[in-house]
Amino acid sequence: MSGKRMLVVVLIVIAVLSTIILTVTSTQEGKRLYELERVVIIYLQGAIMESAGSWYTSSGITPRQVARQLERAMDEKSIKAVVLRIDSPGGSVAASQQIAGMIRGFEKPLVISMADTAASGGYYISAPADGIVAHPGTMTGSIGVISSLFYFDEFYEKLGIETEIIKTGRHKDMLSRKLTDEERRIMQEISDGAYEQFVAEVAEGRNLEIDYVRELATGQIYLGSQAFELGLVDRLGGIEESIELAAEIAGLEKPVKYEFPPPSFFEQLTMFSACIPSLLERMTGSPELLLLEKIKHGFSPQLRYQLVIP
Amino acid sequence: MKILDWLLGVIINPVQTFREIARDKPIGWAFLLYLGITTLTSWVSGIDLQEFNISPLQLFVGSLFFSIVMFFVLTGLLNLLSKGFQGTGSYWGLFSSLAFAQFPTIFLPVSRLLGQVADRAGSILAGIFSFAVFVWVLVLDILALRESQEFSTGKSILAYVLVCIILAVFFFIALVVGVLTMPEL
Repeated sequence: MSGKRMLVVVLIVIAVLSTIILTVTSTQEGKRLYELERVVIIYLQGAIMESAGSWYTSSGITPRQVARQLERAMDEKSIKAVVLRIDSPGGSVAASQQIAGMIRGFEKPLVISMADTAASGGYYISAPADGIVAHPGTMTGSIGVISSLFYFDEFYEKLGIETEIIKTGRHKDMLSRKLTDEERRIMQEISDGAYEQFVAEVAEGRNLEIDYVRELATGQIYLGSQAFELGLVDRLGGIEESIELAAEIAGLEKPVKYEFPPPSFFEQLTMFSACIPSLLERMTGSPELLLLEKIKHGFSPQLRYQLVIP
Repeated sequence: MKILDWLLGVIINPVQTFREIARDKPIGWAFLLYLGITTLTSWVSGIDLQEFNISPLQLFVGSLFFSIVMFFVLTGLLNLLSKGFQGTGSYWGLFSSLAFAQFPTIFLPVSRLLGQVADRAGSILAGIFSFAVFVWVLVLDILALRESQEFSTGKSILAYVLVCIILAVFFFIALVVGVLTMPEL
């Protein structure tokens, strides 16, 4: 074989050898990854809601999003514990209960690290965790329920919209007009029921007497330092202290901080594509109808575990 | 063995080599070569993603299948567009030339290994090297198209760019349709 042909053979052999070496070293790397004691930090920011909504509502914390992240943390063998970094004023009752259930049932050690705010629903989902760490200045607590009802009669009149209700049951339209006294009592009973659920969740998650929790559950906001004194959080500190606590609970000797990689180009492209129909609707839709839809979405009656900030 | 001459020719004298390949149409060797190159690069891609719990084997098989199908589609589109630009070559001549044009891609595992062993500087060098290989293969693709279809470099570049745009638009439409039919994200 001539020298030139030999050169081609040598190049091919080098390429194949490189691939083999990469395979062998990555297998070893894979084993090393498995032996790592990783503590993953998952960031949850925004209001708690059932779904992400359309493009004009800000994204928040949804049960689907949390489930996906926790599932990923569960599947990766190198992850031994989880820290959820929460920055939320709370939100939907049902969504908060769903997320709390996921956290309660999570099989690896899970610690909450509270950011600026982890109040109301933000505290609800924190309560069942294995540990809670808050900054001294974190706003937390606000254990309570709120419902806001909005009356749109004059607004519809301005838009030239007339409404006619045909109903069965005298209370069927109670959330679309001013409440009667009887209906106000019904709404209060509903709020009280959701409140008792909140108190029970905190009492069980934090291993506190239910009467004690009821005393704290006035809807009052507590600073992190106050919450620590009251037994609502376990430790004061930030992410590093949360990792320490998670490592203690999990029995890790050399915890390694870890974050999931950002979405790939393809995932980002998919997310952008999901916004295209809404963008087109915004560009071609009537401004009045868009405003009406935004208001209906934002002001729909809801029972909420949420810190109210004007 | 002529294939070794052709492989060397792709590196040191690509114009003459592609002309010969387009004339002789070694379809079997071209397919085997493309399969071999794609096998190596797909396997290395699979290794890169195993940290994210994606099985290298799954990715390898998927990537291999997708690459081969896309290669046939790409060649078909290029051939079709070339006819529009008065190209005189055949599909199989173009197929063979393009397959041989991918030969420098076998250096990518080498660059990946360099990045792994030589730490930070190695990573930078590996990145530069990978980019250089990408540009090299792109130029070879243009030359392969030009020589197999016997038209100008300008037409060759235009045909290649148009095919890339067509594939990108098709992919984007498929993505939007796929997203619209999915449940809410």
